[in-house]
Amino acid sequence: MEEKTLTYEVAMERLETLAKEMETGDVAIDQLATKLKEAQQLLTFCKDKLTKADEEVQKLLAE
Amino acid sequence: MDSLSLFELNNLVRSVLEQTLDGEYWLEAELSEARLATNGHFYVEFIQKDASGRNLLAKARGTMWARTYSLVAPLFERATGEHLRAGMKVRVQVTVEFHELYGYSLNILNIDPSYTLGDMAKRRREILAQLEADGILEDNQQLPLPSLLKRIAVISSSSAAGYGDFCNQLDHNDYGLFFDVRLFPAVMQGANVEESVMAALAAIVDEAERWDCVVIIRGGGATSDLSDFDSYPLAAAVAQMPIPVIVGIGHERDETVLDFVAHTRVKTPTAAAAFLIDHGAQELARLEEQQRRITQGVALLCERQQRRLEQLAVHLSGAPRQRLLSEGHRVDLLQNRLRQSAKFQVESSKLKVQGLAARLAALDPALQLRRGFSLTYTSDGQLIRSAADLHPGDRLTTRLADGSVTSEVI
Repeated sequence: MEEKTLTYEVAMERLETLAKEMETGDVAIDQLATKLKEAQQLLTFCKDKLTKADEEVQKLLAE
Repeated sequence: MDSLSLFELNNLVRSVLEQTLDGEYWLEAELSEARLATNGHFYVEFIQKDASGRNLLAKARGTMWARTYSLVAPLFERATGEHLRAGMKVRVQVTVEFHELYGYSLNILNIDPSYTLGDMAKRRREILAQLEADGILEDNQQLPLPSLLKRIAVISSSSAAGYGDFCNQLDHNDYGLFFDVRLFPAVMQGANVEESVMAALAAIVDEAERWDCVVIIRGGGATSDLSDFDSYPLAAAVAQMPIPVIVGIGHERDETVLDFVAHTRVKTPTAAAAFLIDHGAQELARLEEQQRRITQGVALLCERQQRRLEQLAVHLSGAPRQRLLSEGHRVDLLQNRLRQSAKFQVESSKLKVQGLAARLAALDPALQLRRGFSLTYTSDGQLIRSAADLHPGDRLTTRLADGSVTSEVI
C-alpha cells in the first residue's frame, strides 16, 4: 500500500482483516512481525487521521 | 344640476359602507407587504392571486393599530415561529373602513395562527410530494456516512452565535479529535435564504471531494422564520448534494423540508457539533477495539508458538542426552574391545615368536650335520642338489659336522 492512495476507510478494512487473521491464528509465525508492524502503522495512520490536521487540507486552508 | 365635492362623494361612500358592511369579517388572503412603522402601527397589503398564481385578482391595504399589534403579534409568533411577513397566507378578522382622504382599507382586529400554520404545513407537504415524485427525496439520506467526518463545510451566517458555538464545541472536544472547518457564509434569515444557501451549496459541490460532509446551521431565536427554508429548489439542492448534509437550523417545535431531505437532522448547531464528535469518538473506539483484537491475537499466537517451542525443546533436550549416553557406552565398549584385542595381539605375537624360534632352531644346518647329514659343493662352490648335475672327473667338497673332505666322481 502507498501512503498516497491510502484512505481511512481502506486502512480500517485492512485492520479488520488483520485483526481477524490474528484472532483465528491464521498467520504464519514468520509473517507475524511484518503483519504486526503493518497493523501498528495502520493504527497510527487512522488515529492521526482522526486527531491531526492533514497537511493537504492545511495547504488548502492556507491558500 | 347639483354636483358633489370629492369629500361629499367619498363621505357618501363611507356612510354606505359603514351601513352595509358594519360587521367583522374573517378574511383569508396573502400578505404581499408587511411593515412595522416606528409608531408601532403595522401596515400590510393583502392580495389574492388567480389559480395560476401569476395574476392578481384583488388587492387591499390593511392596518393593525399599535395596541392591537402589541397584543396579537406575539401570540401569532409564538404559535407559528414566524413573523408576519410578505408571502405569508393569513386568516384575519377585519372591519371594512373607508376614509375620505385615505380611501379603502381593512382594519385588522385579530389573526388566526392555525390557518398560517396549516398553510405552511400544506406547502411543506407539497414540496415533499414534489421531491418524492421527482425521485430525489431520499437521495442524500441514502449516501453512506463516511467513517471519517473531519473536513466539514459549514453553511451559516458568520455573525450567527450558532456558528461560534459549533466551532467552539468542535475545538474543545474531549477526545482530541481534529476537525477542518470552513465557513461558506450565507444569509440564514429573510427572503434571500433560498438564493444564498443554494449559492453556498453550489460552491461546495465544486470541490466536493475536499469535504466529508456539509453542515447547515443557524442559531435559533424566539421566532426563527423557518419557512424561509421551505423552498423546493433549496430542498432539491440539498437532496442532490453528493456528500451527506447535516442540518441543525434550530427550532424546537417545527420542521422544515430540509429536515426531511438532509442525511441527518439535529435540533441546534451544538447538537450538530455533538453529532460529529460522537461519530469521531465511535471511530476512535473502533480503532481501540481493533488494536485490542490485534494485540490479543498476537499474544495468543506468541503463546501458542511458545508452547510449541517448549514442547520441541523437551524433545530435543531428551534426545541428545540419550544419544550422548549411548555414544559414551559405545566408546567404553570400543575401548574394552580395543584393549582386549591388543592384549590378544600381544599374546599371539608372543606365541608366534616362540614357534618361529623353535622352527628356526630346527632349521640350523649345524644341527643337521651333527645328525649325520652332509653338504656337498662343486669345485666352484655350488651346492649339489641332484646327481644329474655331476659328471665323471668333477671334484667335490663335502662338508661334515667336524670338517670337509674332497673327492672325485668316477
